Amino acid sequence: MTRLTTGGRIDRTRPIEIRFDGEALSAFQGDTLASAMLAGDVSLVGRSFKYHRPRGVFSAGVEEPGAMVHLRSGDRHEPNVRATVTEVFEGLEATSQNAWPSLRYDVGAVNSLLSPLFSAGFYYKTFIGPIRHSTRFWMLCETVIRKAAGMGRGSYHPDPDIYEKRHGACDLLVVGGGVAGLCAALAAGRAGADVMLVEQDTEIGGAILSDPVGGESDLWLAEVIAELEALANVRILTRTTALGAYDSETFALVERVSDHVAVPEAHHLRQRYWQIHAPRSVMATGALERPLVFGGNDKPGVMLAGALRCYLNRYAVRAGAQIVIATNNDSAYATAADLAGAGAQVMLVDMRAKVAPEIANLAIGAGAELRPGHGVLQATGGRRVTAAVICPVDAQGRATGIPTALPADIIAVSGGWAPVVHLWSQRYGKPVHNPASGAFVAAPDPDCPLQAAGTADAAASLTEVIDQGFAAGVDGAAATGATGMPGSAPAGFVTGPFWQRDLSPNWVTRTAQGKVKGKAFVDFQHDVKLSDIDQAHLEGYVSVEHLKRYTTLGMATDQGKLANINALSRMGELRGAEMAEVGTTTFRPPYTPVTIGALVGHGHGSHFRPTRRSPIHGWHVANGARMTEAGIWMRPWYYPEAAEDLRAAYIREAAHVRAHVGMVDVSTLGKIAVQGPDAAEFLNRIYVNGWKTLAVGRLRYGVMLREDGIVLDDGATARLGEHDYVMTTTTANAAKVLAFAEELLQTAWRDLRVHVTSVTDQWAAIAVAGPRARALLSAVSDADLSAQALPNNHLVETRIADVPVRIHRMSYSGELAYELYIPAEFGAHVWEVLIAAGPAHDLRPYGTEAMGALRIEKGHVAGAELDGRTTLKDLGLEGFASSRKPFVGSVLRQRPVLQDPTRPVLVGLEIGGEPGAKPGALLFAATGEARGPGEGWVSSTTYAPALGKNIAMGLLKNGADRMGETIRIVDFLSDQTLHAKVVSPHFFDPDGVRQNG
Amino acid sequence: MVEPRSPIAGILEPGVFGAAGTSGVALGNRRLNGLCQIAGWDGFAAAADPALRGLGLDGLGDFRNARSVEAVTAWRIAPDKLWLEGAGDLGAHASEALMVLDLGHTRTVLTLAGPDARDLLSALISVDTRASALPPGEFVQCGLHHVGVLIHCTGPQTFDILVPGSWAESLWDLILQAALPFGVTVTEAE
Repeated sequence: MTRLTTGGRIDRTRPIEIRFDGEALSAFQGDTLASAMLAGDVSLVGRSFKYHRPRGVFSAGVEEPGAMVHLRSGDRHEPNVRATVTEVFEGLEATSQNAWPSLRYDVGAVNSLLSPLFSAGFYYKTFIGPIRHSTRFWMLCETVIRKAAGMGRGSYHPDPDIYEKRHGACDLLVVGGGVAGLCAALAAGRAGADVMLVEQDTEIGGAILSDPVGGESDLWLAEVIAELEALANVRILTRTTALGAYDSETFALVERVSDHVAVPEAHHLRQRYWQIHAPRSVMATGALERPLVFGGNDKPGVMLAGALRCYLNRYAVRAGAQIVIATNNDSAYATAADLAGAGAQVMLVDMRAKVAPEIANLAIGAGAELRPGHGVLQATGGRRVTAAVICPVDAQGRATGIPTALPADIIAVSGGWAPVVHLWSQRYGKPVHNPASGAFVAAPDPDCPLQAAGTADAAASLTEVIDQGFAAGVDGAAATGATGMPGSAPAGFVTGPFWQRDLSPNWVTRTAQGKVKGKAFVDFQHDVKLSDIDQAHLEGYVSVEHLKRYTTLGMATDQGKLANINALSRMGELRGAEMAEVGTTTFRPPYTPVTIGALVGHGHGSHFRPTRRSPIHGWHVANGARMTEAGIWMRPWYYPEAAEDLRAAYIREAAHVRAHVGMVDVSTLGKIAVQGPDAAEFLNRIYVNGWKTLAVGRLRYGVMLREDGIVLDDGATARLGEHDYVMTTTTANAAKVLAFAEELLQTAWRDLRVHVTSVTDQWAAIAVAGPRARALLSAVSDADLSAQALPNNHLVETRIADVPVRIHRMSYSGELAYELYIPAEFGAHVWEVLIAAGPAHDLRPYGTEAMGALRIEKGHVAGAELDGRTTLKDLGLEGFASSRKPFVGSVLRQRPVLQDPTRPVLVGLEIGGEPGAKPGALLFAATGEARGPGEGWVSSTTYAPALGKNIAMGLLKNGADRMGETIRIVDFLSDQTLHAKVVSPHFFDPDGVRQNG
Repeated sequence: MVEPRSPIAGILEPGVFGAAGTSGVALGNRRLNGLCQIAGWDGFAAAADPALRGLGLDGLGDFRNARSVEAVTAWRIAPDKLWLEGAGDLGAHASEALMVLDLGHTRTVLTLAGPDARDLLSALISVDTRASALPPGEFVQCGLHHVGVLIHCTGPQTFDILVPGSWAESLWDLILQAALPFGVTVTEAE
């Protein structure tokens, strides 16, 4: 392998040193890792998936099946990186993968000797059926198999790089920056359309970049790019791959912003994920060269002919000195001519008996030798090709003469080309077969918003490529309303021959007996041989979808870009069917592998999802509260003093409330403004209890059901004015209740003139509870809070520290308690005013854990009881239901299953000693076997400082009749069994003396 | 007089952050000059007419174009709902046909400006932010990191983002992170 002294598109003024498996390699700016490897005579790059066979560089693009490496190290380590599309950068370090202890001497290579055992269907045959306890056997073998097989090794380090998701829009998206794509962008850009041109390569140009530097094609390219860059309405993105096409003309792209440098600059992105909406698009994605199938065709040194030409002309690397080129079409002749011109000894072996004279002369004139009517029967060599065994072949590719071994360090192959139709197929279905080009193409449909152009549509000449691309741009622009004049298409230039003319339909070379010589691979990455296809057919897996799954064809990171077409051809032969009848497997996104980081963007860590904070959040944090995630909210969990843990803190806080006064931030409660002349009727329908009589200045506790009769939520609603109410919901169900109300008002209850609006963010809310609550609030406001002036379920508007505040007399703790509603941006101020006034009343803040303990002591239900399974009756709330009006759920709550008298109902549980029960633990009778779902479950649990014992709430079958019974609480997860006495859930102050005081 | 406290008062730190070079965006925070929702049903336009005429506004407007008259800005957020900033107390106009609701504390405004403001927005919302699709004067209601927001294009490179107060800190932090690659200047709260 030789780096030529001239030519190429590399920057020789910028030498770069890189390392592969610790060995230094010289490269230049503009090289890929693969071109640097070839220039450095590295032929062995990796090992194959199953048999650990040696693999080298096979292609020069995204289709690469073998040259995959580990790139970078530490937290930027990345497996399965294709060397063929990895740009070199100073300090690049790559290592081989899937080999142990070394790439050259890989223990796993023994698998190749065992290949008869690992044929198609190995896993199904071995681990399903024949062995007793197959699952257990699989579990036993899995670790070993996964270690031996598979691809690269992942990293467990957090990804240090920044990724971004970007949404974009344009009139016309052109995918592919080759000749067709450039012409499409030019036409649409001239017409005035908003155009995005995306190219996965580092440079615009497509196949032109594989032409010799300085030729006509370069001049053509420079002119077109200059014109495009001058158009303000054309955006060009390089290093950007269109991964997927989706409904509503939406495309997913990934832009590799900084993959070409060792480490992105500070605050710069590594990659950007684009979601593009484009009403029209052009798929100018080109074509991938098709391999040929013969024995040993996977050995390092066997390469695609087009790739060889690319390395020669783009990277100035002549990959071999003695090169055999095997082909069945004209396109390889350009490769032969260029390589011969660069001094290589080239033997062109063409399966076709006759070759057009001008094509033959192209190669011969450059110094190549031509053998028409010949094929390569076998590649020989160990870790690298040393010879090509060629033989004369008939029209079916079968040997007709004596094989001859030709010394060769490279065998180039060209079996025609397969248009890249992935995007179209992802969106519109299976492509159709075009016999003239031997390829699958997008089904023609002039009305389709996504049009293929150029070799992606099997264009057979440069003129066709230009015309198709330009026409697609003109049509796309016109369809989106652009009215400018596109002018005429650019003139052509001299280029190499295309593949379609006189294409031979043979892709396999066989012996005179019809056998391949040695292991002939179809899928190089997943080690699927031609014989595996035959075996699958023999065993009845003749559908392409079955074939894929039975053999694992096309399943690896390359997704069969090179493999599928030859496998389908073979299946067609075996079935005696045309390719059109055999069809293809389904194309799915992504077209090429995509990093998880790009898909995630900023949505990780603290931004995995947004969180809500109360207006008083800052005070809690500043004053040492331990915060907890309560659904989407961050809430103060407890305020530890000294070295208190959670238990000590919440017990202290709850006890303090009972003895003095405490306050808790309840801004998270859902708050919904209910407005309109029919607001009372609305409340009457949505709540189980009556609302028509609620006076202004009063509030009422209410319960609402789902339509199926299950309890949805509870809370208090206050009447603020003639047509103004404010409903509170539980924190967890606020959005659900609002959506439910909106749905009813916009569908079933369009007769009601009611608006519901979330005002959760309008009001900070503070619950002040404890025997000294009245004294505290009276000290900071002018409101008369006496029991006579403000009894339970009344509200008063007042001011605290010049801030308007609405005080509701309402208790969930069983204490004398008030809820303060404060305009949110004054919430923290009022909290601080209360804190400042607190010492005289021994005020302490308390967190959600103590709040929970207080409500459990009082026997109030909350989210743990309103779990989507419970009814009014289950929860002891039956008395709230009005019998004089219908309400949501009033019919279906009468279903027999919900009226079953044996349903679990709410009970209290007094637990003897420590520890307390765990939520979710199951309830069983005192005796008998504890198996199955039990007779109920624990819903809420706490240590009750007011009672000096552990208590819990739970739902127990026939609970009302079991008061005083001792039962067992069993937590199977921690293997814990407790005994508890069944009691009323109203543990504390059941008569409400304290809260009504 | 008690000063209202912005939901992001605790985390807003003026300065220059992110990628080196000229800041592509400027982020800031301003308090709404009141936010009042008026809502009605059939006959909403007629019911709202007196209140709107008093503010110098003619009719309810449409769902894309914000309308501004002096200090008042109106956003038609739904067929039967209108948001008004700077309208003062419209309680006197409340009737059986017109509901008035103070939402002045529900939202805070995150301001976004600069040559890269549209690009930053496109990294945050799945809405076409090209100048041709979101020109000055127009507004959109959309999800920003799953939170419902109203984004008003107030100039060629300037936007007001009305975000719910309880989400503001989380969204500010996200926007700031997303802005770092552009280079960002955080301005004092207004």
